[in-house]
Amino acid sequence: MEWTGKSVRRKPLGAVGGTLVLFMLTLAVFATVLQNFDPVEPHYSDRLINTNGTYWLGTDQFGRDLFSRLLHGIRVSMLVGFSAITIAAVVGGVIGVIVGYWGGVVDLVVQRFVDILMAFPTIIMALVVVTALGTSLMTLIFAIAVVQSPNISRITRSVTLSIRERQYVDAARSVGASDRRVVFRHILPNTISPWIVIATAELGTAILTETTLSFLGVGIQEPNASLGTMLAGVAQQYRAEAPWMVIWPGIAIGVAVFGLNIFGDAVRDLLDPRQRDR
Amino acid sequence: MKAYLVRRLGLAVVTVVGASMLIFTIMRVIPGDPVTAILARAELGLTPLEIAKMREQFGLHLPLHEQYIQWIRGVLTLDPGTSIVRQIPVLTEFGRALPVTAELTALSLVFVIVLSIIVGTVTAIRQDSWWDYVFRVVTIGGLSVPVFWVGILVVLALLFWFNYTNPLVYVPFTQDPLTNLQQFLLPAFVGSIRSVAVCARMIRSSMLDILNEDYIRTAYSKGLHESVVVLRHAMKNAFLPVATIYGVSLIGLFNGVVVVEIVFNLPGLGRLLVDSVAARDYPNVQFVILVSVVFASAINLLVDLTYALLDPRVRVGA
Repeated sequence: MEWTGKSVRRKPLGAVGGTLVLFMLTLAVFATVLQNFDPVEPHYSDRLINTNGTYWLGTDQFGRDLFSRLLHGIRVSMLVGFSAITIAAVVGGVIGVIVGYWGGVVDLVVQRFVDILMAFPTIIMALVVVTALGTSLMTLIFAIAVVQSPNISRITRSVTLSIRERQYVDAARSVGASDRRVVFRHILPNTISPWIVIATAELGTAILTETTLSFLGVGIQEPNASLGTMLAGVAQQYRAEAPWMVIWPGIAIGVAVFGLNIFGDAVRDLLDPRQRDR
Repeated sequence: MKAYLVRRLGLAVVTVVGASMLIFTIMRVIPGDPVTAILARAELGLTPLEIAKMREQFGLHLPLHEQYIQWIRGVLTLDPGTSIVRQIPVLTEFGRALPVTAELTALSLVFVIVLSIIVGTVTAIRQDSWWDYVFRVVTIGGLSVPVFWVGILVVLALLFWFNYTNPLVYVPFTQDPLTNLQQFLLPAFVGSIRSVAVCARMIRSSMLDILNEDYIRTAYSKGLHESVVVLRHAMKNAFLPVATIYGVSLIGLFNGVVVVEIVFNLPGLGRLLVDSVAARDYPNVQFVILVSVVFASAINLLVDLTYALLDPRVRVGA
């Protein structure tokens, strides 16, 4: 608690970011409570209406309430982003520590595989993976995890490599500690902070990837809302008559990712002063 | 240097070959092979015999590895197959789309280089000034919104305030250079924003390092004008370590271009890829992706070699 208070004072911008993230998470969690209408329910007599007392953020071409759709969009985008990064962080982290610690042939093979995955432009890779597996929430999460994990594994690997050479690790080994003990007691605790840093930093990217994929039509499908879907296809035809249709979802994405980015920067500075940005 | 070159080149080849296998496998995992896709499209009442014949025509009756070898042989002899939807050679479709993406990427790169140098330098020499803060907020903000949304907003803003619409139908540069540029400048700018932000940040921090060096203080104390110190003394050294970021940013630009093409309705590789993915037109998809992987690997290779050339420690360490 005291640490939190100190951190907030040292990194006010990070606290702002954290607050924004918490705010978006609250909207996501309580979407069904906060909504004014069913997000997929059309009101044909109220098509393309601007912000008013009934429709807080206006309506779309089917007269669906944009505020309610936005809440559910935030929910989906946050869910996809957080799940994808959790998977990528766990898988990438475990692989990184294993190949970093044991090295040798496994390392060589895994690194080639990481190189191969990283050779693909990320959006293109995710696009193809989603298409191959069929569009659904699960495949979307999986695809984003696939494109994010190589980077995470690369970073945990390099951290593990440097820790492995430290004297206290040698010391632990020389008193007869098993590999398992060395990895769990000495290596893992020291990889945690860079691992958290990279995972937080990648969260924003993951959400942007989700919105881009949904925008390209391979993510969340209509009538369900994600922040990307709300900007895709039809929304573009109506953007001149009903600009609010494209403005609000973009702002929501911006707030969420901006919050995550400055929060991530602060986390990095607090956990790893050496990498501090000037 | 030679040993490093060979090693690095070998790794690049392994990566590209591995990537080609991966693309190929993924494309075969996609539910419904192309023949089924055509049948669904045409709704022809074909007999099982005719279907089998068609599968044979596409080489789908062969085992996977033979299909792969056939495809690679095709790619190497510049015959990567025929597109399924339009039934024309993949190379023809690719050839039509490439100039659009190449022009877009090249123009974006110009924006990236010019803007990032200006912004990076100005914010470094005026550290913690009003400009610097504006830039920092804009960068983090700019990196927080999707490229396509910026594109949509720019189009909207121009429409509202200037009643201006970007030309809708693609005009090749050779046909009408002015209309073509009018059509490309805006998307190129939008596509460059992310890379400008990233590159300008790196230039800023590299510039700050240099500006704290003794020889810069000496230059100032000799009474040299700031412009001379910055332009003649600092810039040269500040750009060396970041010169290669423009290479890397090309890869990022290509990624962004895919989306920008969709927003601005330009018939480039991104458009071709997205349309082909939607139509399960796998010969197109796998070729476009293979080219993008080769492109990215080539750039990474060049960047690494440049580093090795500039910094001997890289070649020894690796």
